[in-house]
Amino acid sequence: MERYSAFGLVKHALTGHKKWPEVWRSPEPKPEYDVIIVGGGGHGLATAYNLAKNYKGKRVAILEKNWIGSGNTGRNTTIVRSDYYYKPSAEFFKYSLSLYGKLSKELNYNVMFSKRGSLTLSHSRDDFDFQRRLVNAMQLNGIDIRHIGLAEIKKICPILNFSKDARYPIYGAMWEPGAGTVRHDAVVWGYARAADALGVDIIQNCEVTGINKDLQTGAVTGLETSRGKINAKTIGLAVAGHSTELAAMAGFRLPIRSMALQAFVSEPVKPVLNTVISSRAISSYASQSDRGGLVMGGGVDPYNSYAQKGNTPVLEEVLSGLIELVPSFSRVRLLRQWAGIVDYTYDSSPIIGPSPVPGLFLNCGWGGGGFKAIPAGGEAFAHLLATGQVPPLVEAFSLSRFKDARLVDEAAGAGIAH
Amino acid sequence: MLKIDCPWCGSRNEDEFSNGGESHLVRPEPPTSVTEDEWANYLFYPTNTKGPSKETWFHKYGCRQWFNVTRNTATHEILNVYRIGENPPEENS
Amino acid sequence: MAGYRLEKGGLVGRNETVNFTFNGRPYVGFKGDTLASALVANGVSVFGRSFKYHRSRGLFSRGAADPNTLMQIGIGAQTSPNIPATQVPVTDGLVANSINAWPSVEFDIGEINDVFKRVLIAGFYYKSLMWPKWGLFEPIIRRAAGMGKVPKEPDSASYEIGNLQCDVLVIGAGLAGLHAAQAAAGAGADVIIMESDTVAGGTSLWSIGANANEDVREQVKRLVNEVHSSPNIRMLCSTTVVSYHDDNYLVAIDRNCDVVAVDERLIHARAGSVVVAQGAVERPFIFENNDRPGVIAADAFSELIRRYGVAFGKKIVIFTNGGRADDAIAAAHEAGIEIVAIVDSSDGAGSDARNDNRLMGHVIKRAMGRKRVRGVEVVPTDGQGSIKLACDTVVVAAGASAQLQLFTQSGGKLSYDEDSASFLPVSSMQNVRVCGASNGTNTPTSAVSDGRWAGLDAAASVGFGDKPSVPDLTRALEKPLWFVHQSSSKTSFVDMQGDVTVSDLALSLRENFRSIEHIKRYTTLGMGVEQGKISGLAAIGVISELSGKSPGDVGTLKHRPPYSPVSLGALSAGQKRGALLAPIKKLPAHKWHEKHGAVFEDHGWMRPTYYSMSGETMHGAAAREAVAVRKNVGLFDGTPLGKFEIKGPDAAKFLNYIYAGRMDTLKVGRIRYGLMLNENGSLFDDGVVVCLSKDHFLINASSGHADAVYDWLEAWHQLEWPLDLVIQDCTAEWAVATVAGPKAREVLAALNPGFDVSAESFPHMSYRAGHISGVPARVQRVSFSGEICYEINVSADYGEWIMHHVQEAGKLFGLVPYGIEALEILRAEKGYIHVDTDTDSNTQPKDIGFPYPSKTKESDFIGRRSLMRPASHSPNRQQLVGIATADPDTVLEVGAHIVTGNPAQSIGFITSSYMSPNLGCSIALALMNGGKAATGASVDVWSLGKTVSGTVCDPVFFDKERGLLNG
Repeated sequence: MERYSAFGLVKHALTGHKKWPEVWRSPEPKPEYDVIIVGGGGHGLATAYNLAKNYKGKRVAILEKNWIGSGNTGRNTTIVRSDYYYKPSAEFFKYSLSLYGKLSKELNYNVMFSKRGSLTLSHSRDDFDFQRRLVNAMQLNGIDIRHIGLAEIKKICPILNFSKDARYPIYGAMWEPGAGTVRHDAVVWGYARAADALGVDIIQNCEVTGINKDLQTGAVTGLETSRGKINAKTIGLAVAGHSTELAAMAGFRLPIRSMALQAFVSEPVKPVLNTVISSRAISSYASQSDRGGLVMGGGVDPYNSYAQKGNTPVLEEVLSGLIELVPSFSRVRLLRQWAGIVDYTYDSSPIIGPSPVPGLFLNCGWGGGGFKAIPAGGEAFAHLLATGQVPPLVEAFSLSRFKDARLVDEAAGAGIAH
Repeated sequence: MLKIDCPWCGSRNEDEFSNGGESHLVRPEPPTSVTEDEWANYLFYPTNTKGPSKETWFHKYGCRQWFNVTRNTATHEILNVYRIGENPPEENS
Repeated sequence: MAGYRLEKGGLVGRNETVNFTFNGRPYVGFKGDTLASALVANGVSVFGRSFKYHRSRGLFSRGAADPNTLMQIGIGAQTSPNIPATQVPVTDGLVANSINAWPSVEFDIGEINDVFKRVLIAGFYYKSLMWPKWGLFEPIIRRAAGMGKVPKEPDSASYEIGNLQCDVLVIGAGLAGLHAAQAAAGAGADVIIMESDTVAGGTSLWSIGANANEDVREQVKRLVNEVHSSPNIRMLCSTTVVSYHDDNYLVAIDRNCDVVAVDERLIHARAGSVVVAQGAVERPFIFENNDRPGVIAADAFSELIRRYGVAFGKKIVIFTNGGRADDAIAAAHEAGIEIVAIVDSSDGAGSDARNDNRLMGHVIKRAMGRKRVRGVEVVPTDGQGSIKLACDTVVVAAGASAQLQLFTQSGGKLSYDEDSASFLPVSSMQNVRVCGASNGTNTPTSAVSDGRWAGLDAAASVGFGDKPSVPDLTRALEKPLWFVHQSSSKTSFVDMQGDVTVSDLALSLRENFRSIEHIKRYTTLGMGVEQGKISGLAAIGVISELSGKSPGDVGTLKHRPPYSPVSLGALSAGQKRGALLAPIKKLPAHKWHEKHGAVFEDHGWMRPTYYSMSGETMHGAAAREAVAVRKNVGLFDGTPLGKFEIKGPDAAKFLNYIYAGRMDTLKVGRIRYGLMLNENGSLFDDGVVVCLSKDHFLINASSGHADAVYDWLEAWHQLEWPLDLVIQDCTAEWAVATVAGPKAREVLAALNPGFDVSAESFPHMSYRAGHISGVPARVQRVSFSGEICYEINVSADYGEWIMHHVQEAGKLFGLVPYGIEALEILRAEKGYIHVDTDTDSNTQPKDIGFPYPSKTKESDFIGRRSLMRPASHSPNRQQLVGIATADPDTVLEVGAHIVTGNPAQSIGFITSSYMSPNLGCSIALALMNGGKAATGASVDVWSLGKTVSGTVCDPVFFDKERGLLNG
């Protein structure tokens, strides 16, 4: 793999940029692999990278139905935070955020981690008390987060509407200075490039149409795909939005609803919003991309959907809420509206662990929070696929928790799903 | 914005309704007789169908009646609407 | 040489001048001008600077498709960033400024990037700026990026929403659209036609179309008048359809509101069927320096002349591939503009010999000049040699980009048609059809027959008239020249707004970005304000040639809503602003509370937190009120309490299902407290059930959950237990005056309710109906304070009256009004919970001291099965406890955590915490792991770095024997 650097840019300029190598190969699928990961999103690619890096000698392939990053990784609003309430989630997302901090160097690919902080506003005494509970829990779990009042909020984000007459006057906030944004495509391409360099076959435009099992043992033996039969005794599913369909091919059900989560971006404007802002009362959150667009979102569309399309009710709710927070945004213009299909579990926590079918493993159920989980999710899933053992970091997120009633109910803790 | 034909009020916009999830969900009777697994299946495991899916909808800001809808979750197309207690009409799509 | 106003011609009002400024300089235009046409008329060539390289840019296209003329329009609170000058009607006093240029658009320091473009290749930032860290470079990149500026002041514009419904919605009032509307209306359909331009007529207003035999301009004017006067067609100009959603639901923005003081109107439209007739725009030719001011699309060039009476230049070179430029040539002749040459990339075989100065088989290799084209270098498509031609303008006619964004948003599919070198609609998911130039037609005759067909077909699909037969259409036969191979790819711009060049696309392919979506994201192609309207197909063509795939295999860019950018203010016009965003609910007695010094907080209703007397603080007032209640008597407004009546033979049976506790044994006139669970066994709400008669119950829900409880009851009744009963929400029908305290009975007696109020006859947890001064009253003896307490319900119309009346009756007994804060103190002293405050989504009845299911309850209830799970019996569950601080004056913070170990781990948290004025010490409620068994244990309570010691205790701090309650 040729190392990327400013020097390299200058060097290639001398040859008219005609000699840049391929970022990844486009190999033909082989008949058999040791491990196949279904789903070429952030989680699948990070898993493949960690497998190739930490468990050398395994033949690994990723199968992607469309193009890598075409699902939620390439559709999300790129916010990375670790402000989760329960200990298992806090430990996991804290670790994931720390890996994001090092990712550009790890992958030799600029993922543009912008540590600009995340401000979650509260609008009443009760709201503020509730946030204190969350902040205390997070601080006890080692997350760098603070409970701040108006004076500090004004310094961090002066453009907010601080009027006492606002419908939802700003009262206080949770402030996570280490949170920020990461360029989503760069995460996909950086992991793909690094995984490919370590020998992982990234096979795009390859749709899985069936999961083959041994009649005797019930264990997986391989996959039927649009590009032929491919065998493997270990298969990982990392197909957010389509987890149910793949599970059905293997003959089991998942505790998941597929729902559309919308996102919105405005035209590029000069820097005006320097942090991530969100508010539960108005169901909105926003940040400004490096390109200048305001990237906005809110809650899921309130019914099951596999259609990746935007709709008006949530859009209007999010925009009107945001304008309430920053009235001058009213004159900024919306450029694009889209949706991704996310897996929702009852407790808004992920599922990462073995499935009921031997040899088949699950990485799903991230809700709207999968992007921020990519580095740690990939590492943990790689460990699981390589060893068959669930790493302690994700033990709480087993499928069996639904049968044992050991839910990790982040619905309350996570607030708006990012 | 879906157009939903409430069987009581006629065709109205989606934002008057709320979705209640999958219909024809059978609550174990009596619940105390089922195993932990069966109860968990009822609580947490929807079919999550891609394609025509049977759902309940509630005309929250209208007649406040619940009813059944068959809706294609892949396209959002509504295939039919029928009242609670009725059997789904023969699907012709 | 730049543009100028022609002596005559055009549709502008030459007698009505308009004064405006651009970059601080005053200019004069005519009514009917756009900002773009007026600037060209005034000789302005450089409109702005490009996003990345800061190259000078001038007018290229028209309407929403123009990539180069984005401006900051207006000043102060009324300034809007990034508005294409082609979409701004010029008005008196208009202030326009260039964006993305410093210090000025004529001399922009940022142009230095143009020099560095050898390094600033597509995606250069992915490969660099990592060392030492991105955070150092990010601020520089951010400042350089972005375009216009967001105003500092709150927006003073006003927006409104309109909802429309029609049988047939036609998008686009050009020749095809007008005919479609007329045909559909003729069949009897109710038609709305929306046109984004300020006037109807479309390109036919100023274009004669290829091979036209009649004057289409006259024909379309006639048609516009007919459509205007048709009784069942409503025509909305200046109205842009921006998005197409499920079930033919479309969103449009009307920017020419007929209502005074409305700037933009959001339109939500539901159509039976839709006709897309949005037309097409000319796309760029891709050659070296094709982005320079002076290079203009043929349609924009013709429109300037015939619509605005403006010439874009004096000496033009036309670049085309066949017959596409005929209209521009005719327009140039009309305007007396010198055509230096027509550079035609086609070999001329099979076409008529043309009597013009045409260079067949030639292409423009490059344009010369920086702030304005000075000339072009022309080379043969094969062979050697080059010709330099001096000119100030290059008119390009490369081929049409059909506008199908809305069609694809509707779910429609496109397919590449080799003959016309364009993507055409092939199948639709909704009731929609495409006609005219959007459908690839290239003659007025075809547009008319296609439009008529579409209108009739749309009408027939919703029951008006018969389905028409599909007409024969002609489409242009194109042999596209996707880009000029002889040009330097580094300055051959595919997407002018994003500064994406042919070499950027080549680089992405070289690096194995194969999917069009990857290429788009890697190079930022089509991601600007123009959204790929003209760059999309151009890019697909380039990629197709570079990769050796057919354009159909390259695929199309996904066109996401909106079609063109819309202000966030307009888009959210359906939602109310400020106080009405979520309407504030006021109590019937709001004025009475105000009069008594109430300080309100929003709890869904505006409720008195406390009543301030002579400058008291909240804590001071609440303590005074709480003491008064325990000492004498207090008056509280309990109106927001959820109230539902359940009536019918099966009512008791139903309530048994709804509550964890047993309700069928409740006697008439008695009241029982109950917990509602969800199926997962967690607390959902709590409240009392009143038995009014054997088949008639009144239930209370906590005020914050009232709506949810109402929906909950309906859902279980209709979906699971269709028992014989009805449910009625009467929350807002009754106002509740709550009288609590040792002297409450005396106050009630003084009110003379018409029944015996003695403890024996009206004990705790019972109900009586009576009259107070003739007003029917329902009185519940229940208590959330631990004192003798009566909730007096009267019709909400008497809400203010009852507060006043009770206060008068209570004067003798020292009655004071008390607010939420005092109530919280009182209920916390008694260890009474608020569901959600003192519980979370894991809390089950046993955790708060209710060991359901009780032995006597046989029947099923919601959540029962979940209480039987092993996890529900774990001794380490979080349970409700009290916490007494070691220092009685220290009040714990709500949200503090009970911690243990090192490093400290949370084993619980404080849910409610107050200084109890009645006990003289602090009190707190908490949820704690295995808390019940830990009673008596010392604990550390941690909040934001501070630790306080305390002891786990019973959550009931006051009157543990309940003597007062039953008094």
